Amino acid sequence: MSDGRRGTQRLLTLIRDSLDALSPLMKEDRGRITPGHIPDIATSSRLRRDPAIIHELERFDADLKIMDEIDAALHTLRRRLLAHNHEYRTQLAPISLLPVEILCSIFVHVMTSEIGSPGFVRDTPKYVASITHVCRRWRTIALEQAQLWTHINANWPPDQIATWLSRGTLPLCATYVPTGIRRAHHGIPNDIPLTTEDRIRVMISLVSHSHRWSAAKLCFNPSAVIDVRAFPRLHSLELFRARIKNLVTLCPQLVRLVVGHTPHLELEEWAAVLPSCNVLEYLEIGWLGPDESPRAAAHPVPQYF
Amino acid sequence: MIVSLVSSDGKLYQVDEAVARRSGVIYTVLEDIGNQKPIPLLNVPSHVLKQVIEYCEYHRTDPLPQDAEWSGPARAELVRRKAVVSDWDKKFIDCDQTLLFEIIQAASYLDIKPLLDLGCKTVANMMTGKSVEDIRALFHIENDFTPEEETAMQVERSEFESLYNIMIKSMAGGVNAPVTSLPIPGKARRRLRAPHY
Repeated sequence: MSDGRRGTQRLLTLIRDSLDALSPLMKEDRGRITPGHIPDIATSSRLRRDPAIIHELERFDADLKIMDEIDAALHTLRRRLLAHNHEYRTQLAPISLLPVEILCSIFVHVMTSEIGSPGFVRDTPKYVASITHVCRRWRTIALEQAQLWTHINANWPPDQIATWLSRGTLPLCATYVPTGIRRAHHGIPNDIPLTTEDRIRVMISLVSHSHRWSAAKLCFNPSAVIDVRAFPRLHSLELFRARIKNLVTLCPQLVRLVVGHTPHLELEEWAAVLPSCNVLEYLEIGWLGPDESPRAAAHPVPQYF
Repeated sequence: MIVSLVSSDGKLYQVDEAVARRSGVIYTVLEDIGNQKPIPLLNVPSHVLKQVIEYCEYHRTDPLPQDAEWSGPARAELVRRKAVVSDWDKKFIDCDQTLLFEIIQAASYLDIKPLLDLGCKTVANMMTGKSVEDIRALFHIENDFTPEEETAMQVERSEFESLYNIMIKSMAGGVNAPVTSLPIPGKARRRLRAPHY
């Protein structure tokens, strides 16, 4: 046992002894009062100002002050020991030598090395977990690294989406392809099955960050939720099974537009929409007719402007 | 023209100016005050400086990397990061962890972006496809989460894992295929077809 702990134990013993010594005093006081009999004013006043009790109270106040000092000193000792322990363990793990900015760079490499790989967006939480769950330091660094939170899949559960969105500030790449679509057309399995209510919650969360969208793949009709929103940073948009009239006019920076498998889209509607896309450089149009055959979207006819 | 560099432990190295200029810091020093005096590198010990010089010697004719900010579309940055690592670079960076991290620190201090990138990419590759426990073991990192936090994180990870397994199972032969017959995640991921949408 260290000297500090031995001293603390001794102090605790002394306090317990004081408590024991206090008991007879209190018993003596109680003995001066007969139950059912109220003493006269002079006696009451004398008993209330018992110098022995007042003296004891003052002693206790002084002791409590000392105890506060001991408490502060013990916390300081603990902090120093913790710091020493951390430093010692840091020497055992060479990666701890790396400063925060380099660790950030490594984390971004871990994520970006997977960009473009099949299933990247879907597996993003898995990659991020391999960083944020390692230790407290890595977690703190990763949570503050906005670049790690820029790719999002709207098929994740709503709570996960909300957490993800709250952690990022940089332009966002969003993907929304509802359950069943990818599986049916490309042999890719379903995402987590979401209820309609969950989907609406997810879309509302995503659309509330419309100012951050830089690229999006959408496979639904978003007009109900995004008619009044602007997407000032959106430069790449892929739409499938979705109408685009309002959406495209709300994206002044749209450079790349891919539309596929969109039923009931009239050419007149296109003619009205496209002139508003002032900076559009690339347009790819898939099947526009009412037939929703996947082959039509799988082999789109590219059109370059 | 020869430039003299002094490591943190006082060793003198003389290198060609073209080699020394691979470092953004030394480039600036040479531009500002010339190479009349040896340049002290206070944060780079000799055994690391030797390695850094070797790297710069080999890459002396490479074009200097362009700065690319992540805040924009960052296409150039992505292309750079995805560039294939040469065999020489792989061999050069294949060293023990302590030296690897020292080289990364030196590259950061001396502002040698390709070397910093190579080091970070190497560490990232060491991590890719590994579980949290594997990463802790690899880098000797202690798990300092509380038992409650650790349990919550394990639940979260198992959710990701089960989602991932559903995908792999489906690709390997339908949703009823046993998980044990599945390929390992790293290779399996690369085998997946890219969804168009």
